[in-house]
Amino acid sequence: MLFRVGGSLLLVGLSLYGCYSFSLLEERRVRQTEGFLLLLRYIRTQIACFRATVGDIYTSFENRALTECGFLAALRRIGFSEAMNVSRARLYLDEEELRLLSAFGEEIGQGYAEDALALCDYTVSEMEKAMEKRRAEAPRRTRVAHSLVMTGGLVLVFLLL
Amino acid sequence: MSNERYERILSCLPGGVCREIGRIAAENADFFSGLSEIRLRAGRYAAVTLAGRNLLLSHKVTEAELAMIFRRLSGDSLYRHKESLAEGYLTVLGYRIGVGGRAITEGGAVVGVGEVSSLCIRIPHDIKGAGRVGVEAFSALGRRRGVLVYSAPGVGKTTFLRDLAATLACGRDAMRVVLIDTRGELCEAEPHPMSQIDALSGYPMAVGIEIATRTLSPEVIICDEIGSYEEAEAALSVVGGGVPIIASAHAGDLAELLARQPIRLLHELSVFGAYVGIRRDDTGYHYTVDRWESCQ
Repeated sequence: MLFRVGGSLLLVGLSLYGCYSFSLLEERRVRQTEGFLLLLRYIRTQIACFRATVGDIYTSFENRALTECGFLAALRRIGFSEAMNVSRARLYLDEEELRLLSAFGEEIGQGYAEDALALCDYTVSEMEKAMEKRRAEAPRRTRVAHSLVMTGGLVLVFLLL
Repeated sequence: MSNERYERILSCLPGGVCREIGRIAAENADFFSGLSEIRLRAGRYAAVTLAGRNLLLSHKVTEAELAMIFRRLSGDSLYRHKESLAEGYLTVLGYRIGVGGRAITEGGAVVGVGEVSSLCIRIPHDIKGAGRVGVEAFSALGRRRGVLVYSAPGVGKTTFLRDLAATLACGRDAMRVVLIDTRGELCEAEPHPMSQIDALSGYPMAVGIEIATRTLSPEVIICDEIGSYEEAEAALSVVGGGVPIIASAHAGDLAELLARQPIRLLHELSVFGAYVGIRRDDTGYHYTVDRWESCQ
């Protein structure tokens, strides 16, 4: 009986941890998307106001979410599109967002200021749409995930008992 | 020449070119002081100009390599170089890089360069004392009238002006010097901490001169390569305000210099009190100084 109760408590604990992890993942996803949005806006401002080189822009930008996933360090070392490839495994973005950002990295700096600013505007607007969608969907996705994990955990507890 | 800047430029070049340059440098003790240009042409062998001689390297530059070098030199930030590219060059870390290719025009005006086929990296040199003759000529004029430095392209006018500016702006009789650095190669990479130089980098000369006189209260203005009527008019306006101007111009000799109409105009209005000619041969630099009075 003691083992059953212990096992049940372990399952409940694991279910709670699962819920917590999912919330953390969602939060990271939002923070990374916000980080990229801030980076894109920063690039735009630095080009529009100072015609700063992309190297100088990347060096002077700071963001915790993008630092934690290793993107910023790679960005300063090898540039935008290569940094996307290197840190892809630690980026919690949708395929569409990853494709959009990779395309941005390929093109930025290859044209004159008006082209660079248009590229920034386009990418920012697409990322904002993605961000809005994510914000709107996040509570529902979290609720569904929590319900599934907790239900699964409780079913296992009943089976065990 | 700053090693750090030089190494950053070299890091943009293909390994084959760097190795060749390293090999020649190892064989020639005066390599870096004599190196004035590195030339890269698509589909052809890279070349360097060493002590006035053109030497071919054994590395053949491909079109893809040239495109990559161009991207690296522009810092992957082409937008930063739009205006200079329209005039056929890039300025990177104080190095002027001539760009050969097909002109992109809009309404008859060149707005950029496409299909880049060659790059000419000019290596600047910081030679202490290079501008001494200019300082002496300027001092002989009571530091009240300007000096015009002339030579053929690539002989050392910019090096001369850079040293002259540094000398005038330092020491016991230091003057407030404003550099109008239109092409981004006149400013020192690491100015002396006691230097009294203010730099207006990347400004068109006429605009730079106007801003300098209005906002920076200079005692002398130094600018590179004066040549158009607009620039001559700007120089006239500043001289009218009591600020002498020291500038450079392309010319093989004094007669050639004074035959250029905008320069002739400045000469007739006695903007410059002396003309300093620079010539370089195997034995080094040679200077000729002509006072304005002797050129009448």
